[in-house]
Amino acid sequence: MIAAREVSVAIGDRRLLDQVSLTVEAGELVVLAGPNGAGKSTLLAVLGGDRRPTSGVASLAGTSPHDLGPARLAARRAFLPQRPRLTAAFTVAEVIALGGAVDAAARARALAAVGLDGLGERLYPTLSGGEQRRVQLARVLAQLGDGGDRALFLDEPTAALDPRQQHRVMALARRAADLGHAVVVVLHELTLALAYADRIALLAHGRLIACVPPRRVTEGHLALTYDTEFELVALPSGARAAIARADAPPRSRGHL
Amino acid sequence: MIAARRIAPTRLTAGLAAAVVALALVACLVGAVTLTPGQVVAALGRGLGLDLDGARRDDVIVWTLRLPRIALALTAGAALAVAGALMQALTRNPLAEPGLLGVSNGAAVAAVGFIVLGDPLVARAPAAVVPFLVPVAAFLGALATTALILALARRSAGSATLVLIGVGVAAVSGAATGLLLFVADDAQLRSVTFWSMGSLGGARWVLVVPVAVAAAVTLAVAWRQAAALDRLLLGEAEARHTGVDVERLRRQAALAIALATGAVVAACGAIGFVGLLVPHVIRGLIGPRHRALVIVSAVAGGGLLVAADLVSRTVVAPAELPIGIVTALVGAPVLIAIARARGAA
Repeated sequence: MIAAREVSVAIGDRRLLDQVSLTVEAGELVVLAGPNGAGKSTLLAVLGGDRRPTSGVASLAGTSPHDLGPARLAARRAFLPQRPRLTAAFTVAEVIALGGAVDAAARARALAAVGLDGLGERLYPTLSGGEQRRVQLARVLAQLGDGGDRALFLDEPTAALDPRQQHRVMALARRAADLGHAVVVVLHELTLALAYADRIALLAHGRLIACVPPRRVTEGHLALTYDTEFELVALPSGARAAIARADAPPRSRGHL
Repeated sequence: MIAARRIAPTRLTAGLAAAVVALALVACLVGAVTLTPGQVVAALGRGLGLDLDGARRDDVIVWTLRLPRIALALTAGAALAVAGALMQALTRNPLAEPGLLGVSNGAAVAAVGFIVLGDPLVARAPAAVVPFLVPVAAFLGALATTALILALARRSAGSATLVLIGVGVAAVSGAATGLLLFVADDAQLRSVTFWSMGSLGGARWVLVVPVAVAAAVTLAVAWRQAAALDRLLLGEAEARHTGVDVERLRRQAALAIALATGAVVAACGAIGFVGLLVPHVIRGLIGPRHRALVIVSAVAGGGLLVAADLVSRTVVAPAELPIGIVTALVGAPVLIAIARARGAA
C-alpha cells in the first residue's frame, strides 16, 4: 500500500533521510519513532506526497504520490500535520466539513469518535489546544471515510493530549487500520507505540535503525536510536512500558 | 458553552442590498442641483425608453453625472472588497489588504509618471482621448507590476514570499513616485495629490465598464474557489492534503487581486481601507466561509463607496473631498476600535 525504496532527502550536504526503505500494508499500523530531528516528519512527508525525495522512490497504492494531482491524492490519503495553524473563527462542524464529510451525520460521527460530541456549533478558536488537536483529527478521519483501502498519516497526533485522550487517539488509529487502511503514525510515546503498533520503525540521524513488531523491540534498539539507556518493563496487563533513564549515555559508548 | 453568534448571510445580504438601493437613490437626488424623487424617476424612465416629458437638464444630471458615479462606486467598492477577502485568505491574515501585492503602487508610478512627464503626449492626443490617458497609464502600470511580481515569485513556495516581493516592489515604486514628485511642478503636484487620494469625479460610463468587468471576474474567481479558500485557512500544507492545488489557487487569486486593484486605481485613484475593512467586518458578522463572505463583502463594499462618495461630494460642496480621505477618516477609527476590542477580549 505505502512503500519507500531507498529514499534519501538532502538539503545541501545535510542528509535528512539516508537510504530508507519501508513498506506499510493495508490494515497495518506502523509507528515512526526516534529522537527530535531524526527525519520522522520528513519520511512522513515523502510517503504522503508532500515532499519529493532527492533519490529513491515513494509509492502509494502502486503510483508515486508526487505524480498524482492534489485532488486525486486527497482521495487516497489523509494527513494530520504536526502543528495546526488554523485561527479563523470557523465552527467545529465547519472545520470537519473542510475535510470533505459534508453530511451532518458523518460530521457528528467524526466528532463523537474523538470524544467531542455536541461541540459542533462551538467556535474552533475558543477550544483548548488539546480539543483543537482532536477536531483536526476528526477532520482527517472524515476525509479518510469508512471505506478502507486508503492511507492515513498522523504526525504526533498525541502531542498536547492527556493520557486518556492519547489512548483514544491511538485506538482510532488502530480502528482505521482494522478497517483496512494503511496507517503511519509519528509518535514519541514509546509505551503507546508498543501497545498499539503492528510494527515500530526506529529512525536516528535519517537512517532506519530497525523496523520490527513491538514484542521484538529491545533495549538495545532503543539505546541505539535515542543515544540513551532504556528499560523495557513488563506490565501486569501483558504490555510493556519503555522508560528512558535520566542522564545515562549508552554503555557501549563508555565514559570519557 | 460559547456557540457561534452569527447573522445569516442571506438576511445580511438582503438588508445591505436594500440599504445600497436607498443610498443610490439618495445619491441620485443630492448634489449641486437637488432633484426631487419624481424628477429622478422621470429621468430614469426616459433613459430606459419610456418618454414621460421633456426636461433635458434632469436627464443629463441623472444619466451622465450621477448614475455613472454611483455605478463606479458600486463596482469599485465591490472589486476592492472582494480583492481584500482574497488577499486575506491568501496570506491567512485577516487584516491584509489588496495593496499588499504592490500593484496599486505600480499603478501609481505609471499614473504619476504620466501626469509629470506625459505633457508632450497629451498635446498630440485627440481631445476625446485625453481624459483616459492617466487611467490607461495606471492600468498598464498595474499590469506590468503584476507581471513583474509573478515572474519574481514563480520559483518561490509560499504566500509569505509573494507578499514580501510585493512589499519590495511597492517600496521601489514608492521611491520612483517620490523621484517623479521631486521633478514635478506645482500644477502637476496638485493633480498628483488629488489622484493619489482617490476620486470618483472622473466617472463616465466608459470607465465603469472595465471596473465592472474586473469586479465581476474577481468575484467569479473568489466564488468558484470559495471552498479552496476555506481550506487555505487551515494552512497551505493542510489545504494541499485536502485536495487543493495551492499553487494554482495562489496564481488565480493573485491575478484577480491585481486585476481588481489595477482597474480601480486606474479609474478612481488609490482608495484605501475598503479592501481591508469590509471583508474583515463582514467575516466578524457572518463567519469565515468564503462563499457567503465574498458575496456579502461585494455588496457592502459597493454600498460603502456610494456612501463615502456621497459624503465626499456634499460635505464641502461645491468643492469635493478626495474619497480616499473619507474612507480613511471613517476606516481608520473603525480599525482602531476593532484592534482595541480584540486586545481587550
